[in-house]
Amino acid sequence: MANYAPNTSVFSYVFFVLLSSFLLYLDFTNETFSKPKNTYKTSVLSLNYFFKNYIFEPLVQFPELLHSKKNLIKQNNDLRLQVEKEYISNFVLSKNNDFFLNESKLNALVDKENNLNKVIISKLIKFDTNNYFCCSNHRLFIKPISDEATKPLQSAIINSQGLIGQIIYDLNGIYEVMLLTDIKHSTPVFSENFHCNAKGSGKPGIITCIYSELIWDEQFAIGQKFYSSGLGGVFPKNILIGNILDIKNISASEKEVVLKLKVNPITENLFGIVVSS
Amino acid sequence: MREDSTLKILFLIVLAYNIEVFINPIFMNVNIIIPFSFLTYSYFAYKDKNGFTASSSFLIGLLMDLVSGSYIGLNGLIYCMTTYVINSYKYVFRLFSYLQISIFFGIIASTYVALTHLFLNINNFSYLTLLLTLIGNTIFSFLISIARVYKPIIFKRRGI
Repeated sequence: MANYAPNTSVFSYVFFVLLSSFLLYLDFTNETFSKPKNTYKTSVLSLNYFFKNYIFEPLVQFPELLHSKKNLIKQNNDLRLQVEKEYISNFVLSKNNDFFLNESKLNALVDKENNLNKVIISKLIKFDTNNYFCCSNHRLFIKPISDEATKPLQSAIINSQGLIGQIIYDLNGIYEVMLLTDIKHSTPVFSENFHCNAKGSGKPGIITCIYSELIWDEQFAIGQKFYSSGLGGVFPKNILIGNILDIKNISASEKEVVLKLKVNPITENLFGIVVSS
Repeated sequence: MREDSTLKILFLIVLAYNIEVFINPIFMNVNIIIPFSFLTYSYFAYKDKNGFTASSSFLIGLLMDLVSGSYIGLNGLIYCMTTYVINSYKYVFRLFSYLQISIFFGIIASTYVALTHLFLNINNFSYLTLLLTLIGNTIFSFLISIARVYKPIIFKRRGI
C-alpha cells in the first residue's frame, strides 16, 4: 500500500504561524481576548460547581445517608466551617487598630451582633496550583457562601493568616482573585518610614520592592517586618505582609528588597472578602 | 492501521492537561516540567499516518490556549511549528531507535517549556529548569516507549 506524504507545504504553516503570532501579540499587549476567556472560565467554573455540589457530592454521600451518618457528617462540616469562619473573624478582630480605614467602622463592626458582616466568607472554587508553582500568573477563584448583594470588585481577600490578594473580576458571582505574588500585582507596603509598592515576583510566597539608594540611604536588616500601608484604599493598613528574605543589588544605585510573605494561600479553603464600605 | 478520531485526540489532550495540572506541582520541586498535553499532541502528530495539517494543529493549539488560560495564539504557534518539524522528518524517524525518538521528544518538550515560559514566566526563566526538563522528558518518553514493548500479553492480544 502506498504511503501518503505528510502535509509539509510551507505556505500553510507560515500563514498559521503568522496568524498565531498576530493573535498572541494582540492578547499579550492589549489583552484583546480577555472577554471570551472570561466567558469560558465562567462557564467551566459554573459547570464544575454544579456537578460537584449537586451531582457528585450527593452521590458520594448517598451510601453514608443509608448508614444514618448524614446528621453526623453535616454537623462535622458545619463545625469545621464555623471554626474556619472564627479563624478569619479572629484575624479581623486581632487587628483592631487600623484594619478598616477608620476606627468608627471597626467599632460598628464589633458592636453588631454578627461581627462577620463586613467580611464575606467565601469558599475556594478553583486554584490552578500548576500555574502557581510554574508561572507568573497567580490566580484563584472564590464564591461567597451566602448570597449577599455586594459589589466586592477590588476588595481585599484574607484568610486566617492575613492578606492574600484582591478581586479583579466578577464572573457572575464567582470572583477571580489576583494573589499578592502575581507578576501584575502591586502591594503598597511600609516598614518604619520606608514606603514602597511591592511587586509580585511570580514565585510562590515572594514579593519584591525596588528602591534607589540615592533617595533612601538607610540600611535594612534581614528579617525586618513589612506591613500594608493602606495607600490606594484597597488593602487595610498595618497588616503584617512579610519579612525581608534577601537584599540584592540590581544596579549601581538601585536595590531590590525580597520579601517572604507570611501567608500561604494554598493551606485553606475558606477566605474572607473585606468590604470596607 | 486504524486512525484515531479528532474527538478522541482532543479528549486525550484535554485529559492530559488535567493530569498535568495535578502532577506538575510535584515535579516542580525538582525543577522538572512535563507538558503532558503537548507530549500527547506530539505523540498523535507523530503517530498519524498522514500527519496533522497546519490548520488542525492551529485549532487544537487555540483550544489548548483557552483550556489552559494562557495567551491566545501561544499554543497555536508552538503546535504549528512542532507539527511542521514532525511532518518534515516523519519518514526519517523510522530509522531512529526508541532512545533517539525519546531524545527528540525531550528536546521538543523542553523547547515548548522554554517558549511558554518566555511569555508566562519571564522573570523566573531558568536554564536549570530547562536542562532538567530536557532530561526528565527524555527519560519519561523512553519509559513510555519501552512500556509498549513490555506491556502484558493480554493487551497485545486485544490490540490495545
